[in-house]
Amino acid sequence: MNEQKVFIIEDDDFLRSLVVTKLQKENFTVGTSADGADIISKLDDAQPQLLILDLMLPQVSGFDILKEIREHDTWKNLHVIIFSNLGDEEDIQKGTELGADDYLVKANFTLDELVDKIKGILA
Amino acid sequence: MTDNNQEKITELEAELEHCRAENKAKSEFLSMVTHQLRTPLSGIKWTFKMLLDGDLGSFTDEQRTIIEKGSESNERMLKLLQEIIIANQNESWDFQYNTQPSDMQKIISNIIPEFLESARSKSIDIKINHPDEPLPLVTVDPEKISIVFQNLLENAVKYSEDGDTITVNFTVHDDSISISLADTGLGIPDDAQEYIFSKFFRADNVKEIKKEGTGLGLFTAKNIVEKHNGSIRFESKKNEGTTFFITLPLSTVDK
Repeated sequence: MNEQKVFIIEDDDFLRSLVVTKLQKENFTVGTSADGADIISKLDDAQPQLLILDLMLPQVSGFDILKEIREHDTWKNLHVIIFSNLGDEEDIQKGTELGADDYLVKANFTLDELVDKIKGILA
Repeated sequence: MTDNNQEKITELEAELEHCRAENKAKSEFLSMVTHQLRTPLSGIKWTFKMLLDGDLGSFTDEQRTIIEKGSESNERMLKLLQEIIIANQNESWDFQYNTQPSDMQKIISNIIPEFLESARSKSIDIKINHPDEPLPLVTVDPEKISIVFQNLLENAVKYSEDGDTITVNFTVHDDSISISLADTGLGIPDDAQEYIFSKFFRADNVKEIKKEGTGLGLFTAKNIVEKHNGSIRFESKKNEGTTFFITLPLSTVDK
């Protein structure tokens, strides 16, 4: 099977390390960032097939990052899963309108379920 | 209208606007706090799950039992937080409702399975008396109205005892439908009945049996029903049970 690369933007160190541990156990190659600054060059370096995106981030919000990606020639078709604890309908609607493949509220999901979603999207 | 009256009205309007702004600020603060609390709790949830799945190595039965209890406690904390978030959202002035013509029978049938396991563990029977004909539609936000029946069913299961019964009935009126949810559980003491829809209120008899709860379930249920121009009332007798009646106006297309 080809190498599957996932990139995660998550500012909480503990959550980020748990997601990385889980994804590496599932044989994904994982790139990380604690913020969305210079996201395009980070994606250029990591070449992921999927991005796991938190929303409440320092500097640039997850929504702005998603918008930037969707407007970028190279990365506009990148699969994106929003993984946030913002769970209001208006946030979910905004994420969907901006083109997220899925929107998961962290507190309602386990990492197994996140992995299932990733596998489903990349299948 | 006299100048004096106009002045008073302007004053009251300014006061109301001030209260709304304060309430909004309070809601935003609570929303921020609950979000911040959810982040570490999510990390704990994932850690327990990974431990229990053996992702991080193996451990003894005794250690596993402790981890399971830790996980259950964390889930309870997340659930309480979720109740606070929902209550806060429903109180805020600008909370959006996405209403659509909906079939209440379908909405309630979709909720029941969530409660079957906890009901079965106490030998509680949940019965839905389906109407002979399809129900006329009501204009509701399905997600929000589901919260009403989730809260009522959760209470009914929580405060019923082994062998009790929970029954759901539908009644169609000219311009509304009523849904009743009856249990044969603890009942609400007379002196508590006028307060049960108040925020954070919990009757003494439920505190005595040490069942957990925030006292937000019925407050939120009433809030949501009333935002749909509906009404909620109950009849209850201590130690005999409680019946809640929820009435919702029919969609205009169905009138």
